[in-house]
Amino acid sequence: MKKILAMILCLVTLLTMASGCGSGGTSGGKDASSGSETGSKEDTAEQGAVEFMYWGAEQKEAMETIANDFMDVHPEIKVNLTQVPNDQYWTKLLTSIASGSPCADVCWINPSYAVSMMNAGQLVNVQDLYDSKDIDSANFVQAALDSYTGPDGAMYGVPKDFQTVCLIYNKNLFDEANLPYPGNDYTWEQMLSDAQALTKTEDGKTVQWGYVHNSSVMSSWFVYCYVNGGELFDPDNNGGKYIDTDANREAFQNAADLIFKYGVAPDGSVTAETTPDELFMNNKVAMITYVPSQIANYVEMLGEDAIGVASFPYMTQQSTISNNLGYGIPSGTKNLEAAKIFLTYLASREGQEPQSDIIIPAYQGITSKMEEEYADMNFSVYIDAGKYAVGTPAEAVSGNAARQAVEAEVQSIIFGEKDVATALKDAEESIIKAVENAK
Amino acid sequence: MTEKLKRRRIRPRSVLIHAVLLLGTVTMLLPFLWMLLASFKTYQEVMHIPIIWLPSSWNLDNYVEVLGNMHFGRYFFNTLVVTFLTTAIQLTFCALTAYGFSRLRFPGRDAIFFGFICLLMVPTQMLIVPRYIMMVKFHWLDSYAALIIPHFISIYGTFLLRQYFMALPRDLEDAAKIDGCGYIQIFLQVLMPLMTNACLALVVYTVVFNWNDLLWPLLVLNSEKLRTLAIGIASMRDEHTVARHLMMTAGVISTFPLILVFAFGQKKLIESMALSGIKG
Amino acid sequence: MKETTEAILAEPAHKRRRRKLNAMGRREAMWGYLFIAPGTLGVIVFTLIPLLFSFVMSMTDWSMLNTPHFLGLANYRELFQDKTVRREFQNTFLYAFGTAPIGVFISLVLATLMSTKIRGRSFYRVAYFLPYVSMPAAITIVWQWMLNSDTGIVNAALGALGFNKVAFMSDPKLIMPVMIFISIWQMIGYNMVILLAGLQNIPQTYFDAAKVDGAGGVKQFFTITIPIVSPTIFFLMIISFINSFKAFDIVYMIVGAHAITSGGPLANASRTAVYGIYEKSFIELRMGYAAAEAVILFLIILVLTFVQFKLQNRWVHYD
Repeated sequence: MKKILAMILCLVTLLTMASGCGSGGTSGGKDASSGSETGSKEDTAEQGAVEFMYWGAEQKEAMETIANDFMDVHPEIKVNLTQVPNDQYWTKLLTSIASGSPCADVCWINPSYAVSMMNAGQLVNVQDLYDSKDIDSANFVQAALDSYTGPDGAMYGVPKDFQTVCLIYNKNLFDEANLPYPGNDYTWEQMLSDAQALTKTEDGKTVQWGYVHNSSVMSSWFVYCYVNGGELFDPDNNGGKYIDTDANREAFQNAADLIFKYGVAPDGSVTAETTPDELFMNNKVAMITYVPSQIANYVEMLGEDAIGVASFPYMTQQSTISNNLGYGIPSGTKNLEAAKIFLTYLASREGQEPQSDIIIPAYQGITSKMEEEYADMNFSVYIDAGKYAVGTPAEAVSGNAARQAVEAEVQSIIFGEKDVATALKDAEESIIKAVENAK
Repeated sequence: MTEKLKRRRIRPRSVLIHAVLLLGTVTMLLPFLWMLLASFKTYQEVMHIPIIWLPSSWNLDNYVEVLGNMHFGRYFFNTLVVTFLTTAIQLTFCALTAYGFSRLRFPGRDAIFFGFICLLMVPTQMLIVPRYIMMVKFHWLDSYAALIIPHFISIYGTFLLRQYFMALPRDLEDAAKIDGCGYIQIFLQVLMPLMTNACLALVVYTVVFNWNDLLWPLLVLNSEKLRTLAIGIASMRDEHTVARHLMMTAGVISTFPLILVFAFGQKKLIESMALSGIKG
Repeated sequence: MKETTEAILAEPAHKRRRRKLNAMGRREAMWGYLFIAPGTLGVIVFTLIPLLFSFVMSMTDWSMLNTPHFLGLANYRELFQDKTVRREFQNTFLYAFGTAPIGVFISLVLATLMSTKIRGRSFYRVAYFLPYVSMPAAITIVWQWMLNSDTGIVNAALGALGFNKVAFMSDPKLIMPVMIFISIWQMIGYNMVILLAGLQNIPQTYFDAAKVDGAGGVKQFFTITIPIVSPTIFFLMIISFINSFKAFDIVYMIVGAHAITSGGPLANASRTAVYGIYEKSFIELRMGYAAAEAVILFLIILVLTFVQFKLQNRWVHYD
């Protein structure tokens, strides 16, 4: 008998401890020992705390600084940050919203998901914050505001940053090959010829490539379409096609030629084992196209003097994609008031400024610290690109499915499994099917 | 004369056997060794071509980074707690249920047990979405409850323990009944003490399963402070820049605890697993 | 006859059953139900109900974000036409049939070798067992690195021996064999330990008699060892098959590594049904569709297990 009692006592103590550790560190001992093993959100809601969810691990410090600054100004509201890898982010967010208790009160959103979320009523209408001038839309570029304007014309989010895709190159490798650095008017032909000079082989095997296609299609293959005068996912403006047009086919072919015709870019089997980032950071590749937030990593590995920025190599017209992330409030949040206060802060100069170490804030007029620090890199290209950048293609109706379809076909292309024409035809079919399914 | 022949005949054969077994052993253990060595290297050393075998300096920088900054210390604690609790609870309920199925008679007993066996074959995939929805409805998402409570009973565990119970001699039970013992007493004081081997087998299985479980925690947990080691490892490869040396360090932290337990407790633990297979 | 426990126990089983439950019997029954109640409730709530729910869900278009519509068998029709799904099941079969028979056979050979009177048996037993207890996610990333073309030691060793490098992790034709290899690597220890215990039960006299008859080691293996441990082999085959049909962790780490781009030849060559179901449920958010695939997977496992049970009459010897 004694043994059982002891065992039960043990178990109960541990369970209580466990629920204490489990349900939100903020709630402290008292809440925990109420015996509930419910999720953190319920406990924190009672105290007016805000769950803040994001995915970019490289921006962790910036997010923490913003949260801490906010808590200094509003000591009665606690902000809990959770970083969720992109892979799981949308699943967790969307399923939790659907279940009625979202796992975050404020979270990062991007233009593509924002459209489908706004259509499905998954974001909270925050127009009132704009109307009352708590958030001043004059501080943000219209394109950024458009990304988070719902079909009813109301605002559903706050622009977070301003990320254009530009070319990042390795100065050391360029020096070695005696090539002039790329500038703000870099054409595709120039890039190709530089890449050829920068590709080295040893015993028939390539040990250094001039260029690599970024594994994120938003920073590579989508942009190729735009710099060739093409259009994406907008059948109304694209001859009824989502992606399979002549301009896009040509763009994709030029890109594929880098791998198979000129051998200046690695194929799928190489990037499957070593990611494009890794290749760049290990001096295996001289050029890569990316948003500003990765530069900090590159600087850490290669040193500031080795990195340079140039405009995205263009085929027929200078263009790039501007992917403006935003902050939004998922609908169903139990803590709307606190969330709105935090959202307002995030739209203010103080709330936007700490980001400028790692990314260009959406708030105009903040001199991004990166601009000063990386002036030698020609970092201002990122900002100048805003003049000709287009907003993220709205793969809206199908959520993420359109992008996934293109990603899958791109993989087939870079593995040499499919030719460009077939790949784009299949992509078109997949997107049509995905749009159908979403209805 | 025969002895000399025997010895000569055995030698080359056993050398061959040892060679084969050793080659296999190397294949089995090399990944652990390699993972351990890498956990002391820097990123450059890990990515270097040609391969660098030994780290240039044996410092714990990677461990500090992974355990601290990357929260693996927290994940370790979580995994420990969840594994311990789940195992303790599962053992309790499986034993109770198995006892009922094996030593007590009641109408429908065999039918119900047959139902259990049928359900054993259901792939987890058929269960994860409905269970996930249950977690949502019960508000257990993002809590230890979601990890522990669905696993409080295991069909496999019940089956396993039932086999062992059935193999126990009835005399002790009969004697206890004559003495007027109730069923609980028989369970606790007569039979369970004889079941240490069985319980050990189940404990081993459950600990290994729960410590390494990936899919379910990945789905139901969200907050960083609740994540388990498996989630930590899986999340590492999601980032754009794969910090290989840190991944290896995380790997060591996730695998070596169980490995060390088994290496040192091997005789008892492995033996009990072996016998469980026979009974199964 | 007095209705003592002794007396009742002394009666043959069939007579016992027909007895009506008297007070003692009722008491026992009550306790019986009591003991199994929590566990049975748990199984009903966490296994049976989800199973039924899954069946129902498989006939709707539910995505957790919408209101479900009943579709009848439309999901199943779509599954049969879906090229990706066909590939998924192909991969699953390859994976299962590659892992289970080969894995069990290798374990058997190893166990047989170890059951001879060699020294260091405990050491070998532990060494082979360790992979089984390690986290599949963690050891997959180690193997991925070890098999890497440029920075992996396997290719370095091949190079040193004068062979060409093999693109283990990036050749779509090789990725499935790699997955099978990792899976076998992990399970060998467990199977081997169980077989070892079984082998130790074989009386040495059998082998001695065979030797006298002139049978060599290999012949002894096939004529004595295998038949006697066949029940254990059978058990392990069933378990290994079922487990490899259900395997997730290793597949997740390998396919998921390319999940930034969830398509392409590498992902297609490595994606098994289980991962496909996960993908459809939690990434594409098509839960109804995924449930249909899960039902089909379940049916396949049932059929295969049933077939194995039927076949056991051919080769499994029980004494």
